[in-house]
Amino acid sequence: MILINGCSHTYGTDIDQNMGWGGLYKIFATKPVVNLAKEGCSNLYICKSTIEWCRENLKTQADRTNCFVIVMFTSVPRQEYILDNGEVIHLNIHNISDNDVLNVWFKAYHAHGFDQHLVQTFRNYFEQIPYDVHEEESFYQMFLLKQFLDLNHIPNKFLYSTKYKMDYDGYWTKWLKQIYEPDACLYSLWEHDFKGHKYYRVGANNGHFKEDVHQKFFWNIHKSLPYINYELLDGNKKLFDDKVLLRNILAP
Amino acid sequence: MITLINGCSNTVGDDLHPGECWSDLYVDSSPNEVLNIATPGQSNHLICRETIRHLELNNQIESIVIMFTGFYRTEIYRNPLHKNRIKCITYHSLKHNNWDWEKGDPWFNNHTRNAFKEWFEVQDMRNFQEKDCYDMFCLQQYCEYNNIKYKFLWCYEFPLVHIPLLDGTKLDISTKQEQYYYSNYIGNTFCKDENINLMKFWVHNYGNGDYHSEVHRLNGHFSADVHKAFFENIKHIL
Repeated sequence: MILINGCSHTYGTDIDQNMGWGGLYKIFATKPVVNLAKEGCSNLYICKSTIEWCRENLKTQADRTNCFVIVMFTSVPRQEYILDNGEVIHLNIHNISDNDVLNVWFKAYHAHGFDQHLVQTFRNYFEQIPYDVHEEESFYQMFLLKQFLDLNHIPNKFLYSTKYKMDYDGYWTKWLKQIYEPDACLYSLWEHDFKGHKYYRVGANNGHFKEDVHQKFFWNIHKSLPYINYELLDGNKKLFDDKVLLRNILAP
Repeated sequence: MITLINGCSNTVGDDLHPGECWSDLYVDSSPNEVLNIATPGQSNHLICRETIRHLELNNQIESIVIMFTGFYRTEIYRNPLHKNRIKCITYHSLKHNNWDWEKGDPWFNNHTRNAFKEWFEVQDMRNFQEKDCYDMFCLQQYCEYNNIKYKFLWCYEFPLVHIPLLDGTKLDISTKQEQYYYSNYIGNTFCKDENINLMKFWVHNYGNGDYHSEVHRLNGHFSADVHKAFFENIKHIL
């Protein structure tokens, strides 16, 4: 079993989900893949739901050893909120300032307590806490997840959808710096290989990356992933051809 | 070897004389060196986070005793140049404007206070509890896998099934086991024995069942008698 978790970048929002990095892994994996990703969710949510899934689904040490958990962490600040009807919505600095998203939510959830006051309250709250402190908190969550996976002998890999500043002088920021792999960052790939070209961004506020970025990202990391069907991958190499993926940058 | 103690003001010994708090009594009876890093007002999240940080940095710690606190708490962080970077905030102190320590501190102004007060007030208690219980779960797992002996105590709410909200209404998490996974785990694993909860011990033995009683209590803290009797009652399990 392979467990994938993350935010909208892992869910495949605004793109063909099969061509997102998570969808590609599902296609080229030799084992069943479960994708728990939720659009807009926080790193805390990602960690909590990953641990919960492992505890409920990997009952024996053999289950744990034969599983592979791959998580793509998300941006900060983000927080979950439980509506009056018990439904969980994922609030973040982007969607709480996006009128299109808010109007949809006001219509859908007004009867369950989602109103202007709630939005303003969370905006004020997010503003009170410096960005790097939100990062430090997220890195602590990553540490807890890493501990859980390693100590349970569950093979795992961490990816990052966003580029963190990592400039807070805190214990958990220092910890992440030690294990951080720049190649595991989707944003950095777009910034370097795709020259930060807007063409490769998509969705509201250009918040997501086009399929091309995901395809190249998957190609770059696939050798570090277990349970890859290399025969199938070789037969589909054209999906990962730089000349196609980078055509808008390579063109004169 | 070292035993690490952590908790809130009920572990610091606020409103008590030196030597009267349960943590002081533990120091007197423990064969180990005891390091008490409790801080008044801190949240369960910070208790767990700082405990794990200490465990990471000090391999002489072989056991921990943690007294968890109330759920409506959080921390704020200030400019890194400021001496005390972390400030602990409780909903209670915001509601009652109980901020002696911040007089003359322009950073923690009315807008900031209101932002946090309103943030507390729009929250669902179940969500706070679930997050705290996730922290407790992670601390327990950390100890299990790193061979650290641990004992968990409480001084306010246990993880609750019927949760009283700030406005007095009650919510039920028992029908949503999946949504409140960690609350149910902590509640079912650790909270069957009410003797490990200082507040419950007080309310049953001193408060005549009334949580609003001020008998043997000052500023919400329990008297030396309560701490002594509480410690006598639990010392065999520590």
